[in-house]
Formats: sequence, structure tokens, C-alpha cells
Amino acid sequence: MKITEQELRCWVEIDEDLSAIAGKLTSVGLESMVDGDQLDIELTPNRGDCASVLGVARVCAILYGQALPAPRFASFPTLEPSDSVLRLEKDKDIDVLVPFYRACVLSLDTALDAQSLAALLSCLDKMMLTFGIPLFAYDREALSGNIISFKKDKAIELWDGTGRLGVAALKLERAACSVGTQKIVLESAWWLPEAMMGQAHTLNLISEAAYRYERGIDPCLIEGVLAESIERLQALLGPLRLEQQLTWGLKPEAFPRSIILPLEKVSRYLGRDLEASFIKKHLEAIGCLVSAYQEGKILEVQIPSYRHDIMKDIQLIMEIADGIGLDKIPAVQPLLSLSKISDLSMQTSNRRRRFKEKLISSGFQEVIHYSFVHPLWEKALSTIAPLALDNPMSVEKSVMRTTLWGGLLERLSFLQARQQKRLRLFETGRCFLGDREEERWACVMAGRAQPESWQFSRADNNGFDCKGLIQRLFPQRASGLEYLCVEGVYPALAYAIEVRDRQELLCSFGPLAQSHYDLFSLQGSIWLMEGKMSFITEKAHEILVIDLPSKFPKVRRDLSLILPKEKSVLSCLRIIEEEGSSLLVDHCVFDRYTAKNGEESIGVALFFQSKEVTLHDLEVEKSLQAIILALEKKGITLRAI
Amino acid sequence: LSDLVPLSTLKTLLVEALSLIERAKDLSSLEQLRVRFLGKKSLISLSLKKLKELSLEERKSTGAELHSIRSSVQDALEEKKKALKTGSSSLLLDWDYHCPVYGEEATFHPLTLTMQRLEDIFFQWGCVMVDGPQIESDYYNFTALNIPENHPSRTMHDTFYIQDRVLRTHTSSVQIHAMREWGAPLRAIAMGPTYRCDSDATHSPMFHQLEALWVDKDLNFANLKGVLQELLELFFERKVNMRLRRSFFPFTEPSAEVDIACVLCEGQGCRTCKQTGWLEILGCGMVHPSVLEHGHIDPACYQGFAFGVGVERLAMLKYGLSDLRLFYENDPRFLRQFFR
Repeated sequence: MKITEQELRCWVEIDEDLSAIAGKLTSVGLESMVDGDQLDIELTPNRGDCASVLGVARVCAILYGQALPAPRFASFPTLEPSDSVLRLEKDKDIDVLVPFYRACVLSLDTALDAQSLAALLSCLDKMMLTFGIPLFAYDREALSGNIISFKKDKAIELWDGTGRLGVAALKLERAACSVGTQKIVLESAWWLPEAMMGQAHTLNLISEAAYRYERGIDPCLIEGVLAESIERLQALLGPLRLEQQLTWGLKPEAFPRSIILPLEKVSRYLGRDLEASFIKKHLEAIGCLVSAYQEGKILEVQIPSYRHDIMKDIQLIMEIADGIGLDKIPAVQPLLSLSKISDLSMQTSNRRRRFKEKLISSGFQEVIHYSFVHPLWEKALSTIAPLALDNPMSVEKSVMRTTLWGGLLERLSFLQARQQKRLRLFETGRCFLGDREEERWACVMAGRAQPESWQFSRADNNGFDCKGLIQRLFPQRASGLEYLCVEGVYPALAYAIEVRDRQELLCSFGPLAQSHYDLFSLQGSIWLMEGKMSFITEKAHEILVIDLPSKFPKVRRDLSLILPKEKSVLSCLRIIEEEGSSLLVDHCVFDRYTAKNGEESIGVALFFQSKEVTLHDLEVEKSLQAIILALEKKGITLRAI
Repeated sequence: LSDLVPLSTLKTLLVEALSLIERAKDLSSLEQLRVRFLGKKSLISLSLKKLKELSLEERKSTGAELHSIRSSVQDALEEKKKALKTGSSSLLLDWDYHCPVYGEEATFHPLTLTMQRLEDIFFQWGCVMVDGPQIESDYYNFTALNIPENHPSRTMHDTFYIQDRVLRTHTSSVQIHAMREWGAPLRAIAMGPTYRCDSDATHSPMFHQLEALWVDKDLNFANLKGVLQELLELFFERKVNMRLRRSFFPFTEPSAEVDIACVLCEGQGCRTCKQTGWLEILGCGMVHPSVLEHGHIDPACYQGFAFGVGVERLAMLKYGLSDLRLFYENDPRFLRQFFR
């Protein structure tokens, strides 16, 4: 809302300049900026009372310790009845929503021309901006049947003898004042906020009047503003006669609102004891009438008619806090105790964090994308129908993702176009699968497997890099994981491999399907991987536990083994793990050779260690022999130790 | 040669061959392609045989072309064969020893770093981390937070709709879930993405929020100030000058906006703080009794405070950035600069 400096200074005398006034208004919740000689105030929805010059002046008067006199209005001109009498009718429950209504039938000496019509409308606007009371004028002679009636349908409608005139207080479809109008019906009413809320939006009739009605107007000003308007119109349009007054409801002054405020509650909320006299003084300054009961421990506060935002005692407490100054309330640390619940939260968070650290240490950069994506990506990458936004900002952000791959691939394309060829990105975030939301992690690898260097191969990423990554992420489980080829589940991938841990899906990976390269404008070898975060935070916690290192030395024994054609390295390692005692803490394949006849020969390093003692050779040999025996039973030949 | 097969035809054949080889799914189909394109009766082989009938000059130029075509097909076949053997999923399943992973420098996303920092602070205070759906019902996002249908305060939120649900416009929607799940007393935080239809240098349609909710018998506005002061000082790792301004949030009463002295210009006035010396940083207030009621907590026994802060806003101030969109451009050259 904008008001000029001149308008404001008509009401209050303030020595300070506009920017100082803006600063003070901002401090009490009316965020203000100075725009030339105007104050631009961003009103919060609760402060309908400030949607007028008078309202802002009231706040300024409080801030500068002044008493703002009640506005003085002209009185109604003398009634000069005419032959044609307009009747007012309403559905019986309308006064619940509109408790007070007042209209005047005015007769002009000369009919409205274009200039006087503009002056009429401008005058009504001015009254609304000054006092916050919307006024409406329509053509008396365009009403048929000498009747106006208010009927409640979805909104409150205005009718005459012929039919519907329009939506009351929002828009007339006929009978609006125009050039040639000589008799005017000028009306105003006390619409309760709940009568207007949503109507303007639903009917797409958003107006300044609706804005004020939705937030609440000061009903006690209606009559005065109506009378003042008639006097101002006389000055603008020439002599006019008041022919009839139509009204319903009791005068709004008959409905005072009171709130009971226990002082103990004020102290409890603000953390500071306050004198009853201080509270009373401040509440009176904002226009309340205050009576004290029970030795001043309880206050009964009568709320001014313009403060629709004060409905409960806590809102009065806000006013009192404002009176103290929020900065003057002390900052006090609450007493804290350690909570078991937080340990659980911390564990989950740590697991998530540690998992991400592992990805980062493997060279993957964390990225964060929007959760809404292009529908074409979803169509190409997922078999699940995505949820579509009803009001997207653009088609590129119009459906909720069902996989994290879309954002990663789009970003990959963006970065490849900027000469970044070797990329490793990962993301964690929610995917939206119909009624279900699932947190996932995903990564993408593009370009060479290793950074450009004389010592590294120039080979592109391949499936082995994905496997290497999985083994790095889940080292304790690596040799127990199952890798299964699946078809038809992952349209994003040329072929897909699911990695399972005891039947449970840990992640899936594969190369990007050739057909998607054009869609995302991608090039080079691209591999994708995605898994559920719940596996990390709930089930795989033991793999992320930090193991304290042993204080005793580790003993290494190397085995050179020849594997028959039907035995894989994996099966060999499983035998070693199964037969190795608790002393076997790690193993590593450090060499591998495939002979022309298909036999494989591998070099395996076995590491033995105890957490309690330094191992003797005998203990190591015993454990080693058990492994060798088991390997030989399975047809694996020991070439050398 | 020209009376046998034109060179242009052979070039077309080469394109077809390369395409079919690329699409070959297994070794047997690859072998069939080899016979078709390089076998004795193939056009390429027959053309090569005819070379000897040409003059020396023609043989030199045409021969080079023909050999080039044959080599291209042969190379493609070899490469595909190798790929099918070594890169195939079946081989991959057997390949199992630790593959070294070399990488360039990588880091957490600055938003993650900011959220981790906040998490650490709240965990010190014994807070529980709670979460809720991002596609939320109207009830949890608005009604239960004292924002009834058609109330003008809904216009404060530029909401995305999905049928009868909304993308949560704030993490305050988690408040009700948390109160119902944990009851009182409660010290909880929720952190995560929220969504509003707005996009410019300081607004993003998706942004992250931290929501803190403390409910107990004796909590008051002074405690809220105490927690905020300490939070900001721990986060920025320095003394922070803070001020509170009255504000309006339907779910808190009294409500306030918190400003801090600009961390970039030390309150002297700069572009970031619009020469005011102050930066708006978060909204806070005492939990509205009707919100506690929706959370099945008796407001006669308990009261609490809540505050919400934009993670992007904090990150921008912490790292001295002026454009929020940088966080979502996800350029590793930018992201790699954030270590803590």
C-alpha cells in the first residue's frame, strides 16, 4: 500500500523525515520503504486496519506518543423524500455475514457527464484510501421494480425487480453509474471477513474493496464516511438531494468485543514480569478500553472496532511485547537436558553423512537439483507415471521426479557443453512414486575413468568402475553381494545390473541407453547408479560403523592360486572368508593372470590381526592352513605361499 | 570397378554395416554380420578381387578407398567383439576384485555443509530430527497451522498444487506430524526442500528450510531470543548483533522477524543489506495455541516457540554470495570451492 507524505502529515505532526518514519513502522511489523515522497508499506494479512491513511496515521501517532483525534465527518443532508420509493429486501441469514448496511438515494440536478462520472468514482476511491471503507454507487433509474434485494447463493448477489444485478460488494453486471445517470444509490456495508474470504479469488473479482473486506474494515466509520462522501460529492457534482435512506442492522457500536487477559499469562509468554499499570497504559494507547479485576491480576480489554486481528489474549500479548519493545525482552537460554531421541537422529544423520563422505572421497561431487523435472525425461528414464503439477512454472519443471537420474543427466549435458568431459556427480534426495516418497542416492560417471595424466589409462568409465565404487562404499559386504542382470525395469539403461544384499536391493547400475544420448545431448561413455537411502540409514548401519584399529601388528601372507575354468575369483574369495578365522581381517587380490587355456592365476594377500595380542606364527599358520585346505577341496591349486 | 559396384554404394554399405555392428547383441549375430560384410561373397570382398582388373592409377586411388572401407568394418567388428566379451554384463558379474578409484577433488554441496552445521548445533542441544512428506495435504500445510481455507494469509505462500495436495510451502508443515508423533515436551528440527512459485536472484522455486520447534511447560519469548542468539553466534562463529521486529505468521503469536547486523559490512551498509546495515534472516514466534491443539498438545499446559530459516539465505551470508541460483547450477568448478 502506498501513501504520500502529505496525506500522512494531514493526520499527524511528525518532525522526522519519511525514512525515519519508515524505519519505525518497519520495527512494528509494517515493513515500509520510501519511494520518492511516498511510503510503500507491505501489509501483512492481519493488519486490515492499516489499509488506509487513517490506519497508518493511527500507528504513527502511537509510535510518536501522540493522541490521534477521532475523525470528524459531515452530517447527512436533510431528507427530501420523492414519490418513487426503493424497497430493500434480504434473505434472512444475510445479516450474519453483513451485520450492518446503509444506502442513500441521491438525486443530482444535472446528469453525470464523462468528467463528473470520473470525479464521482475518484471521490469514492479517495474515501476508501483515506478511511479504508469501500463505497459503491449505482444508477437508481436503471433498477427495475423499485426494489433491491440481497440473495445468498455461492456469494451474496444483488437483485432488482428484473433479475440479478451482480455480486454484491464486488461487481455489478448492470445498473452501474454511467454518463447520463441522474439518481445514484450510494451504499456501504459492514461485510464480515468470513463473508468475503475466498469469494474474490473464486470469482476472479479481486479488487481493492475485496482486499479490505477480507481483512476487516472499521464498521464504526461507515455512517460517517457515507455522510462525508455526500458532502464531497456535492462539492464536485453540484447540488444533490438525499431522497431516501435504506438500512439494516444495529449500529456497529452496539457490538463491543472484550478479551479477558490474565497478567500471569503475559509473564509466562514473555518471560518478564510486568506491572498492570504498564500494560493498561500501553493497551489504552492502541485504542483499547481496559478494566482491572482481582487486584489487577485480570484485565478485561475492550478491543477497538478497527482491530480485527486481535481476537485472543495472545494477540494482546503481542501488542504488549510491542509496547515493551521486542529488543528489550531479555535473551535467556532455556534449561537443556540430553535426550535419547536425539542420539537416534544423530546416528541416522551420521550414517547419511558418512556415506556421502565416501562418495566424495571417491571423486564424486555432490549436487542438488529441483525435485520437479521435464516430463520427457521421466518418460525416457522411468516406468512409473510421474505426478504432474497443476500450476507449474514451466514445462521443464512440471512433473515430480521418480528417479534422480533426470537432473543428473541434464546437468551432465550442461557441463559437457562447457568442456567438462570427465565428470562424477552424485545426489541424494526424495523421489515421488505416486502416493509414496522415497529418499534415494544416485550417481553418474562420464568420460574417462581416471583423470588425465601420463600415468593413467585413457580408458572410459565402464562397469568395473561401478563395481569398484560399490566395493569401496560397502567394503565389509563387497564379496557377499549378488549382481543380477535384469530386463525391462530400467528404461534409462542399455542393460541393468541389480546389486542385492541377502535378496534386498542395494542399488542398480548400468550404461545409459544409446537412445537417450540425443534427448539429453550427451556424449561419451556414461554410467548411472541409483539406490535407496533407507538401506544406508536403516539396514547398512554396521558397514558404516567406525572400527577402532588394533594396537597390535598385522601379519601378511600371500597366496598364489590357480583357479580352474569353472571357478571365479569371487567364489575363491568367499571360500577364504568362510574358512578364515576371526583373525583374518582383510584380503586383497594384488595380481591376476589369465592363461591361454582359460585358467586363471591370482595373487591374494591375506591379513591376520588380533585386537588383543600380538599374533604368533603358529596361530597365523593354523588359520592359513585351514584356508588352503578348503581351497584345495574345491579344486583350487596352491602354486606358492 | 565402376561397372561392378559404385564406390558410393560401398560407402552406403559401410554406414549400414557400422550401424548393425553397433547394435549387435551377442557374438553369434556379430559373426553373421562378419560373413555378410567381409565374407568371400560379400560386395567388399568381390570388389577387392576386381581391383586387379583396373589400371595402375585407378588401382591406387580406388584400392585405398576399398581397403579403408574393409578396415573400418574389420575394426568395428573387432571392437564390438571385444566389448561383448569384456564389457558384457555376464563378464561383469564374475569380475570382482577391488578396483582402484581415482578421483579429482570433490566436496559436499554448500547447502549440505550449511545443513550439517545447523544439524550439529541442534544435536548439541538434544534436538530430534523429524521429517514429513514434501507432497503434503492442505490440512498439514495450512489448516492445522491456523491458515484456514480462503484466509488472506494463504496469499503469503505461492503454492504449487498437485490435484488435492500441495508441495509443502514451508517446513512448518512438519510441526503437526512431530507433535503428534513425539508429544510434549519436544525439541525438534526439520530440514529439507520446500517449494513456492517464485524465481529470481534471491528466490528459487525450490529452497531449503530449517524449522525448529520447542514445546515445554515454561518456554517463553525470552527463551526464544536466547536460543536464536546462540544459534546465530554458533553458526557464524562470531558475535552477532541481532534485533527483532514484529511480524505476522498465522502459526505463531507473538511473531517476529529477526535481523542481524550485516555480516558482510559489519553493519556499515552495503549492497547486500541495501545500505541498512541489517539483514533479515529468519521468522520466529511463540507457537499459536490452536497449532498446539492440532498437534494434540494441551495449550493450557504447554507452550512453545518455533522458528524457520532459509538454508540458502544462511549459506549466502556465510559464503558471501549474492545469487541464490548458483546453488542449483551445480557447476563442480563452483561447488569444489566449499570445504566447510
